[in-house]
Amino acid sequence: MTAAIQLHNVTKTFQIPTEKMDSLRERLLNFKLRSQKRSFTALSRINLAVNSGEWLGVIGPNGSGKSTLLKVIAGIYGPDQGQVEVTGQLVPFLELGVGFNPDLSALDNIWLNGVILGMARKKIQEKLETIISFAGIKPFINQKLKNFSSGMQVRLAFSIAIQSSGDIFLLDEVLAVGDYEFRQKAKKVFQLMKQQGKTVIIVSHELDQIKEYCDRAIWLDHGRVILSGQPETVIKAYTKFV
Amino acid sequence: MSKPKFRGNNWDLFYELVRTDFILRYHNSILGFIWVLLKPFLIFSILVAVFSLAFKIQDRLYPLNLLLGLLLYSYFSEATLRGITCLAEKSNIILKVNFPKSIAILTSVVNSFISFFFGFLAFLGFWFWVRPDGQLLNLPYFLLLVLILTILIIGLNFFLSIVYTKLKDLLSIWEVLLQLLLYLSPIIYPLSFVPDKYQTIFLLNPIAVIITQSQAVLITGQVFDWRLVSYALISAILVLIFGWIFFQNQIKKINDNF
Repeated sequence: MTAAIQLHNVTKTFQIPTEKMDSLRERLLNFKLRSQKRSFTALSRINLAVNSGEWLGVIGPNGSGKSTLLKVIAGIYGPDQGQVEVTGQLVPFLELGVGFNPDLSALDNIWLNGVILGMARKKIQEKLETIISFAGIKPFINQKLKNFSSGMQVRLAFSIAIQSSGDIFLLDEVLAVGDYEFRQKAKKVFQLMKQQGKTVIIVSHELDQIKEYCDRAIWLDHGRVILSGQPETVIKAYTKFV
Repeated sequence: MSKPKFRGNNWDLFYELVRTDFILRYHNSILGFIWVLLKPFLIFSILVAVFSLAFKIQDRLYPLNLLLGLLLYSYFSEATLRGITCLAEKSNIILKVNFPKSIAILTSVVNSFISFFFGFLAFLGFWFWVRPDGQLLNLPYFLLLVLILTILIIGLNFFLSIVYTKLKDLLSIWEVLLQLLLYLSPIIYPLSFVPDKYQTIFLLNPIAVIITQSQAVLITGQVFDWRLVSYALISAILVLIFGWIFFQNQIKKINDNF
């Protein structure tokens, strides 16, 4: 087993201004040019190795550092200390529909979101039909996105996202989308990903899904790993604690 | 083993960002794309009417000089105003996907350049109507000046876009500075209005150099002053280099600013 993702002693601290001062007027009125800051440790000396082909579930209360963990792995935040090593092509789904613009047509949004997710235009062209039919929006393809229901927007976003090819996927609360029919379709996609041996990290509050898909789970609280192990064991401990 | 990087095609991302920017700008209007061409033409017509008919300015080249000066100035002001906000506007993408942020800077310049290009076509219309002493054979010189201006804009946008994420006042400050620049450059008045002893100081402003030299080659038919142009080129390149270094230093921490 080779490690797809390795974190050594990763610490990420945010400097949060106690008062938001991003205008010159406020700074001058307060007679200080440096705003006071409070540091908040989102991740504290995290050691984590995810094997290639492994599905890891991350659970924990809001603000425990789950999303920050994914963002550090995705390279959006650089860690203050420690190292992050990623082997393989990484696709971050930290949110569905990144860059979606309500004033653009669904078709234009497919192109925009596709390239933001790292797809080449040639590939989007090839997958266009698949994306549109998977989302089930063929009759509305030239309509502006703002006329879509929120459910339809998420379906479109999900359909684009699953077309981006990679070895490692980071999913932040993106499992529970769409209606029953769409969820069944999504389920098939995940099963296929599992067969193909993709590495996946799932952040979710839907503990049943973690149990269903993941090989291992970690429980994060205040930026530390409290428990790591079999999903059933970790979830049981977590729910008991809450 | 590597640090996570954007694995997409940078060129494709750049293309789509420019395209959507363009669609969003013109798609919602009735005349759509026609506006790109029509707008500078209408503005120019108004200016020519006001200055040559109402004010009865004798110099027959005055309207052309004014148009060219305004065209270059608008390119600069539009592109920098878009550049200032380009990172902050894309914060929702920057916080979710790790991609080379310099693409956002370049995108901000391209659409202003497209407006500039169509504005220039409208200018050529007036040029053929007035038939000034400058020759269109000098167009390569003009292209060099536009290139210098573009380098200057990109370099400044590297600075401005980062500073704006920390200091939102910058937009208002920059708008005032742009107004100042409009009156400190020989746009509505010719360079000859400036007293001789101040002309050297006046031409320290690279925009003033670019405007006067463009007017020289395309309209008045004077010789190209290589000394001044080299000065503008070197200062633009220096701004670009320092802007790039500043940008590279600050961009890693950019996500903490949003």
